[in-house]
Parts: sequence; structure tokens; C-alpha cells
Amino acid sequence: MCPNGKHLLKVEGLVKKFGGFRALNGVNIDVREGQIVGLAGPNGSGKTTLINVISGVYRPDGGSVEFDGRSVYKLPSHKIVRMGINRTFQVPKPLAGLTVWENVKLGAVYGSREGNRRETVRQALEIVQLHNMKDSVSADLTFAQQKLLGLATALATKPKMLLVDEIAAGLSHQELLWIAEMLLRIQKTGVAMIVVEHHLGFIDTLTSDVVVMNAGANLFRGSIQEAAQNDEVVEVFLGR
Amino acid sequence: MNLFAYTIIAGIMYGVFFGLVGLGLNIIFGVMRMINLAHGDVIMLGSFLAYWLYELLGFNPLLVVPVAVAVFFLVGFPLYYALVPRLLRSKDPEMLSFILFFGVSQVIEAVIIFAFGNNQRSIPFNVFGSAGFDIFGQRFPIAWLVTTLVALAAFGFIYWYLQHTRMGYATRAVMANRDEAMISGIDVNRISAVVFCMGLALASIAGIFSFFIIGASYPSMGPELTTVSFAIIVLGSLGNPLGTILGGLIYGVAIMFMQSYFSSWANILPYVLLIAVMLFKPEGLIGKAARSA
Amino acid sequence: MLRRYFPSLGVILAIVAILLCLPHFYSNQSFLFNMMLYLALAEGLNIIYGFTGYLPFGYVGFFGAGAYGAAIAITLLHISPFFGVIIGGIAAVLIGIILIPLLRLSGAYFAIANLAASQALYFVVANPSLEKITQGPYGIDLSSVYNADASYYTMLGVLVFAMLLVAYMRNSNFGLSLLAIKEDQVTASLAGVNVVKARSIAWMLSAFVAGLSGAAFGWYTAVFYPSTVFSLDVSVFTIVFVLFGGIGTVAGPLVGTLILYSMYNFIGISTPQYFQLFYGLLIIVLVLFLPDGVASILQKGKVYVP
Repeated sequence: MCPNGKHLLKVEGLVKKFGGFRALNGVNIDVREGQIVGLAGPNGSGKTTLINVISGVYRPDGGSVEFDGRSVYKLPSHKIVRMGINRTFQVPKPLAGLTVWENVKLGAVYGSREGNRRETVRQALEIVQLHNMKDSVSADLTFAQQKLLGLATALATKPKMLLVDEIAAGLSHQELLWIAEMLLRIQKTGVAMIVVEHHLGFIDTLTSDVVVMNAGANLFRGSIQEAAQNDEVVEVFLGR
Repeated sequence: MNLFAYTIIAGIMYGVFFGLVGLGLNIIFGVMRMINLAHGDVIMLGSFLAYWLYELLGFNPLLVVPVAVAVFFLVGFPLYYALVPRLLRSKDPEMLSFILFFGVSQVIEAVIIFAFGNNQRSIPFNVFGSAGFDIFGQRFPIAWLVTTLVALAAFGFIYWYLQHTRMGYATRAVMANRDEAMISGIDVNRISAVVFCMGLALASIAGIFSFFIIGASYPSMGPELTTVSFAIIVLGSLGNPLGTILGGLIYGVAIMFMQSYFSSWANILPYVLLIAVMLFKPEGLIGKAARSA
Repeated sequence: MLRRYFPSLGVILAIVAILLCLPHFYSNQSFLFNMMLYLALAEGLNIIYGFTGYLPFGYVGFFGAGAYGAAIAITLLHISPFFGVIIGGIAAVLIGIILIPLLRLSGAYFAIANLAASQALYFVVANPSLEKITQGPYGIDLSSVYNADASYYTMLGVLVFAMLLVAYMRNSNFGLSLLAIKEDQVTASLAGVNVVKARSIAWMLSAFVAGLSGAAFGWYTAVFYPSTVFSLDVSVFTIVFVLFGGIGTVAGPLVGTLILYSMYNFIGISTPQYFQLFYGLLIIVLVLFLPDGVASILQKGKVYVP
């Protein structure tokens, strides 16, 4: 970990509206190089919307997003990806008709556009341990495997920052431990992360630095221990 | 000024009729999220039914309406159960149904040419009597009035069905959310089948009166009518049956103005309208979006 | 790297060999020309429908634009017919560029909007007020440059070009990126694919093939009318042939066209309704039982289809 590294991602006052509803209402978050930040909050607090806006899947309606010293605000996804941000989906969206290898290769060819592509694909598949399934059609994979495939495709684009959206949802305890370990290994290669998780337990195994959102805005930033003692945080998680 | 007043009034009457032309397509889309690409051919079938009953038995077009409704409910049910449930289970119902109904359209066209030959057919304009009627000093044929009233009656019926019957209530539920309607115990397939038949019947009624507004009928008129109908329902709003009348009125008045003032370019209008609305106002003038990225 | 192209190239060479030899044994050149025409159109439609999933119901618009673009270049600008054919292709690409915004529409909406666009173009070309340029509804007469053999081999060249394009897409990363767009545009763009650019390129290539084909057809036929080269039947036939053969491969559309166009020639020319009834029923059966065409039977059996 290098919490004192320089700023990689700096989000300020981010706004996203759906009709009259402000799903994000001035969100701030910053991540340093190689740092993992946990992003927690109740359902509907705007965590996934934030990921969608940063990764260019949704267009923002205000604020700023700076990455590596350059603005990525309102850029299309493929440009954001090529600058070094990628993400995974809570419900995986693999290219169902293509093989595992083809899915990941696409990321290596169009996302990173450097280095030995074959080697990039092979490494990404090895990290998520899908290498022995490389010729399977991705529609035939299990739910968990499809999540890993999404992660491998993201890794093949050689990101400096990964936005990991509820990767733990629907997985067994064993799988969780293994995934946490894998994410830490990815971090050691110099990849920063925002890890979105509904509950704090999984985040605790990855990092002590956590942001809590509620109703489309920041509620808290600090260590998990402090979060657990913060009245407002406890209130939004437990309700009254 | 005379031409202007005439254009407006005729445009409104045309518009109500064109609302009826789109209505069947829109109600089927609203419930099944499918575009019935054979819609125009069903209109053509309605007009041939009217022509045939008029020539052979001297039926007044108004008498053909109940016959057409009966015929399309008898044909529609088996057609629905043979095709649609299977489609809804496929991986891309929207696109596959589109292609499938295109196949149906080609079959209808071919069969009608076999049966009647590839000729134009029409019913005389004075079938309702040769008297005219006056609105604001403009004289219009009685056939237009009858057609307009029938179209308004069709809209009235759909309004009554949706708002004041039990089944209409269920239909609105299916339109709003098919899955939720299914969970709450509505027989979605039966509702869809009924609405499918209703959509066909409405299209055929539009066909019966098409002679007085569009002119002669011919077997291959279907695809063009389908495109016009689609333009109208996109204008009104996709999936909102009662909104169709708005699309019809805009279309009717616009086409009348084009014919009065720029007649050589009138035939391009429905296509330009369709593209413009889909690109710039895809949710229609009142309603939901149809655009992806 | 090039080895993976061999099966596709094998198919292309076989087709070319047949079309070069056949005129010496079979005298119905017009049938062979139309066969090549539909083979090329089927591959052109395959580029956009097979690889990106956009079904261009108004594909005939590009065909007509090509025929008229070439005819205007030949009659008004006195350009040689061969270059006229290329200008026809470019005219279709220009129409394609104008229609790029339609690609924002999805599925059936795109199909209908494209159909409307081709109809609009037809009414513009056929409009009597443009008679000085397009001859309006009165048609085009190219009999002064008529040359059956030259236009035959030009059409063959267009067909080879179309097949090579599809072979490239079948085996290249660009083709893979288009298939990704067809599956899921968001996932494709998160793999770094520029979705808007890639699908626009596919669209223009598809338009180019149809434009070249329309131009070659106009040259070969010499006399034609707006209703000939903007006939919805051109779109319909092409779509049916491609659906029947199977999309996304070089061989699928070729097989579909070879079988169905031959059938059309035997049962359809004198009484088109027999063929219309047949392919109408065929479409229904395909959608319900074999939505991916005959090539998918082989592919399900793990047979590689070039």
C-alpha cells in the first residue's frame, strides 16, 4: 500500500439526474495511486451510479472527474478505458456469443493497445483462473465465472484504476476469501481500486479506507473503525 | 382562404381516419412490444373483404364492420397461439417477431394476388348517398363524414375498453409491465391474444373505409401502409393507443397541406416525418423512448 | 497469422472459378449476372446485419443511389462507365453518411427508419421536378455505353471485393469488435472499442458494396427506372437470402443466395407470387425453427463454416 502516493482520481461535485431525480447530488471522492478505497452505503445511495458515471456508461450532469491529471468528464467509455480506468458489473455482461478468450482479447486489442496481446490475455486469464476455460463460449459459464471474465477483460485493458461493483454479491464465503486475495494481488501490481460493497465486512478484508454514501452524496470518509462508531453511518445502515 | 379552411377541415377528418389506421398497430405494440409488420396487409385484407361483400352481396361498408371483427377474431386467436408465445420465449423477440410478421405480410400479399389478381379495386364514393354536407361553408362528401365517425367510434370503444372494463384494466397492467402483470395473476397470454385480435380487427376496419380516403386498394399496398402507420404511432407515442389519434391528426393535416400547396412532394412526407421524429423526439410527442445509445 | 484466412479464401476462389468458367458452358448471362448481383448484395448486407445486428430494411436505397450516382456521372459528366461504377459506390457511401444518425436507433426501429429513408430517397429521385438531373420517373438510358461483357466482369470484381471484405471481418479483430457491439454495446466500449466509429465504418462499407452493385446493375441493364432500382423487392430478396444461409460467415449468404435465387429463377420469374408465397412461408419457418439459418446446423455440430 502506498497511501501517500499522488492523486490518481479526483471527483468533485458530481451530479447525475434521471428526469427530476438527482441520483448523484454533488459527490466527492479521491483515490491515490495504488490505493483501495471501499465505497459503502445502503441500496439506492448512488454507489453504482457513481461507477457508471466515472466509467462513462452514463453521462454526468455537473461536477468534474479528473484522472491522472486529465479531465475524463463526459468522455465516451472507450476513451476513459484507454486512459486507464475500467470496471466490473454487479450483474456480469459478458459478450455471450464469444468465447472467453475472444472476450478478453478484445480488451487487450482495443483497450490497452500495447505490448504482446496474446501474453496480456493469458496473464489476465491466469489471474482470475479462467485459463483452462478459454475456449468455452461465455454464455455457458456460471454466474461467478462470468464475473471473473468481466474482471479479466478489464485487466486486459491494463487499467491503473479498477471500479469493482459488488463483486461479492451472490458468492460463497470460500469464493469471497479467494476474490479478496486476488484483488490484493492485483493491487500489488500498482492498480488502484474503488470497491463498491453493500456491507463493510468484505471491504474490511481489503482496506481500512472507506467512503460511505447516502442519498446521492458523501456521508463519511475515514477508517472502517471510525465508520462503525459514527452515528450517522450506523443510522443509514441499520435504519431507525 | 377558402383553400386554407378546406385544408384544415379535410385534414382533421383525414387525421381521425389515419389515427384509426395506426390504432391497431399501436395497441398490439403496447401490449406485446412487437411491431406487426403485416399491419398494412391486414388493412388491405379489410378493404378486399369490403370490396368483395359489396360486389357479391351489395353490403354497405358499415355492415362489413361486424363481419370483419368476427373474421379477425376467428383468425387472430389461432394465429396468436401458433406464433407469438414461441417468439416471446426466443432470445430476441423484438427483432424475430419483426422478421416473422414480415413473412406473414408476404404470404398475405401472395395469397390475395392468387385469389383476386394484382388489380386495383374500389367501392363507389356515393355508396352512402350522393349528398354532401357543409362545414364553415365548405362542402365535403358524406363518405368522409361516415369514415370520420366510424374512426371516432373505434377510439371511443378503445377508451371504454381500457378505462371501464375489467379486462381493459388488466390490459393496462400488461402494457405497464408484462412481468409484474404475470406475477399478479393476470393471464397475460389471453389478454395478449384478445388485444392481438383487436388490433387486427381495427386494422381491417380502417381498410374497409380506406377507399374513401386513400383511394383504390391493391394487393401490394401493405408495406407502404405499415410505414405510414408506424410514422403515425411514433408521432403519437409508441404503446399509448389513445395517443395515436394525435399522431393521426398531425399526419392528416400535414398531408392535406402538402397536397394543397406542394403536391409533388406530398408522398415523401410520411417518411421524413417518421425519421425526424425517431431521431429528434424518439419518445413521441407524449411517451416512452425507443432509442438505445 | 494469414493461415486463418485460408478457408474463407478457398470459398472465394471456388466461387470466382465457377463464375469465370460458367459463361463458356451456360449461355444465360443475364441469370449469371443477377446471381452475382445478389451474391454481392447478400455479402454487403451481411457486413452490417451479420456483424453488428442492424437490419437494413432500406438496403435498396444504397443500391438505387449507386445506380443513379453512376448513371448521372456517365450521362451528365461523361465519365467512363467503369469509373462511373466507383462513383456509384461513393454516392451510396454519401447517403450512408447522411443516415449514420439512424444507427442510434435499436432493433426494429432502425429497420423501419431505414426503410423510410430508402422510400424517401426513391420519391426524391423519381420526383418530376428533378427531371434535369435524374430524369424523374422517366428513367435512365445508358444504351450508348452498353457493354455486356465489361459490366459482367465489373460485377464479378464487385462480388470478389464484397467477399474479401466479409472474409476480413470473419477473421480480424475489427470483425470481432463488431460482433462485440452486436452482443452488448456497453461491454464492447468498456473493452475499449469505439462503438460509434466501428459501426459507422461497417455501415459505410455495407453501403459501398450495395452502391457498386447498383451501379454495375445499371450499366448492365442500360435502361432502368426509379421503381426498378428502388424496388423494395431488392431489400427483401437480399434479407431472405441472408437469413436463409446464415449470418456472420462468408459462406452462409453465398449458399443462401445460390439456392434461393436459383429457385426464384425456376419458379418465380413468370409468376412472382409463387416465390413470394414460398419465401414468406420460409421466413416464418426460419424464425420459428432455425433463426440462425442453415449454416447454424453445421455450426451446432462444431463444423467450422468459413
